[in-house]
Amino acid sequence: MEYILSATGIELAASRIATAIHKTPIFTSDTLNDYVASLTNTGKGPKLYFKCENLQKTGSFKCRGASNAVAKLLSGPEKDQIKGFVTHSSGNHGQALAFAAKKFQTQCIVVVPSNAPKAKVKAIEGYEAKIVIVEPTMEARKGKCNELAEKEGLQIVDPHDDWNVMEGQGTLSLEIIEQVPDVEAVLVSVGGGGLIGGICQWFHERKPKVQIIGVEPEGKNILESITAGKRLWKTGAALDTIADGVRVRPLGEKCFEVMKHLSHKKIYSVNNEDIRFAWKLIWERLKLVVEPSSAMPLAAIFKYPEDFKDMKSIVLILCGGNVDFVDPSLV
Amino acid sequence: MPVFAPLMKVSCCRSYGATVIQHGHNIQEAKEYGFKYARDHGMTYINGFDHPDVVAGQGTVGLEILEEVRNIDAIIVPVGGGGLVAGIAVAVKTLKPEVQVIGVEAESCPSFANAMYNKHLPLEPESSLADGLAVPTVGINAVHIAHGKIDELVSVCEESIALSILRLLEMEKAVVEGAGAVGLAAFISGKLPHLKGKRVVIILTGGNIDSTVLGRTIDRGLAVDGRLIKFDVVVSDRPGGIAELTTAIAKSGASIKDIFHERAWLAANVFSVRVRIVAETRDHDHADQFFKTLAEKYAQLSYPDYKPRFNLD
Repeated sequence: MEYILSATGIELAASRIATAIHKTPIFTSDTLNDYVASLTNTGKGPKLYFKCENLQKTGSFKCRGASNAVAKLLSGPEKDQIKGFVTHSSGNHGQALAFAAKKFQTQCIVVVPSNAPKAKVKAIEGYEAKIVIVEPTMEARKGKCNELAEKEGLQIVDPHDDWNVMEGQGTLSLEIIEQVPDVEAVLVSVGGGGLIGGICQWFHERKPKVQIIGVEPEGKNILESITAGKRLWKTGAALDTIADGVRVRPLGEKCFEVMKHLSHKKIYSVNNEDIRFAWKLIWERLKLVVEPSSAMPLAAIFKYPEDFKDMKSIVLILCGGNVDFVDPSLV
Repeated sequence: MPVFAPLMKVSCCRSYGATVIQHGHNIQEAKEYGFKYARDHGMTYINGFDHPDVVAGQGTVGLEILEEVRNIDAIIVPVGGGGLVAGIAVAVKTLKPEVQVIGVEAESCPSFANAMYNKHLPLEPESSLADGLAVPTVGINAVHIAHGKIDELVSVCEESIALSILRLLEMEKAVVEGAGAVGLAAFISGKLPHLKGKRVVIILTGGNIDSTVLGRTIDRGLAVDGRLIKFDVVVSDRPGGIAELTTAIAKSGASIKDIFHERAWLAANVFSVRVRIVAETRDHDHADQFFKTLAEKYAQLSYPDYKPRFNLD
């Protein structure tokens, strides 16, 4: 596999997508800092900096990768063959791709399962993408997506296992280092691995002393695969977690290659209870609407405070805020 | 604090080290008790909205707004006791008098309108989602300071407040309490049509909403938005009765969220069952169409009125 992710590429991506995305703010909370300090045996703790990608365009960081992929392909060597873009998604990637297609003035089709929350479907329609509804099975989704790509000459953009997408997600690194120059660690929720992949690459090349720490839902066992040097996941079955944004079980192939550079090899696992507790506190203390996957970094710090107590500045990425309010299992 | 003060507000006060005494059914009763307590214990009473120093502090929001946003046409301010709007009015009318200052009250507690314009509108402060604005007797200083400096004062209904909270959660990813959401509610319910196309700053004054209240408010907002419907329908209790119903619902494009059977209280025949369903619909048009279609199939269909008083377009 050719490895084409680099810090330089990420820096170029940042300029490429600058007009499309927001530079999101950093929130802090004395109460949350004090709470973490109270959990340690020294009574001292780190200062937490929350990077608010829930306030990003489309409500999640995904528009960075989607925008970079679309913009790059539309100005690349194959631009005349590309009639538009297609993907299958009920979540943030579908919305992100629809947004990017509209921004860079091209066509987009999103294949959506019939049980997708109506608010998410409406959001995708809001960006003028065409919706095609299929049975809620992976075969139906992928099948229709491939069919449309071939028939209509559309480019498929994978939600995470794509170099251009990872490059786009990596642009977060530049903002983080600018907003929190003395950052010692960045905590990232891990689903397919696109976000942590991009961030890992940039920091590994430019600021290797900064620890990039992944947080996974229990059962994913990323470290097992990284230690073995290959992807050990046997099944594609979704993980059982309330963090719906990171239910995908295996890391993408390309994402896995990048994560081998995870210098400090630290991944924390959190369960539903851990996530719920941190999630509630983010709503109550930061007054921010975030998805449960956004709460995973904070959940990890609450669970293992001793590991973080000697750090001064930690950045936690609040990856998204697209909550389905109709679903009663949530609140 | 009054007896019905939100739990979050009570516990947060305590976490800052305060002793919290809960007394009275509204802020007025709590205040009177507070005055007496202060006198008996030699303490200083600080009024939350009428002390001039407090009004001056609240007014700093006005200064920040003028610094951060250019070419503003209007600033929308929630009004409870009047401290915030008075402070902002002084700041804005002194520095940029051409900017409109517009106050918004909850319809259930228009105490500031009563004081300022000598009206006698009825007050029901305990019933509002905007608990932070539930002040039956507004500040005398606030009214005096704000006199002549407020361009307009409007009020909003509970439905619009619920919908406003939901919009802020969904669109802005912001957790805002009822009192903080009244500004947007004024636009949602069409109270400020002359501001269409203008540059407007809306102040989201607070985010201390109890999680339990939040859950119910979200449901309320979804109902007002035509996205969550609840209805009862009597179907055959024989095999296939429910299946036929759920098929009809799915065909109409609605998604069932909750389903509950009830047999004991049904006056009709023994072989029927009343089913209560909560379902998700796209919007009001979809909900209308859904009920129309279902009514053609089922004679015993009942549902509460789900349309808001204001126009949602």
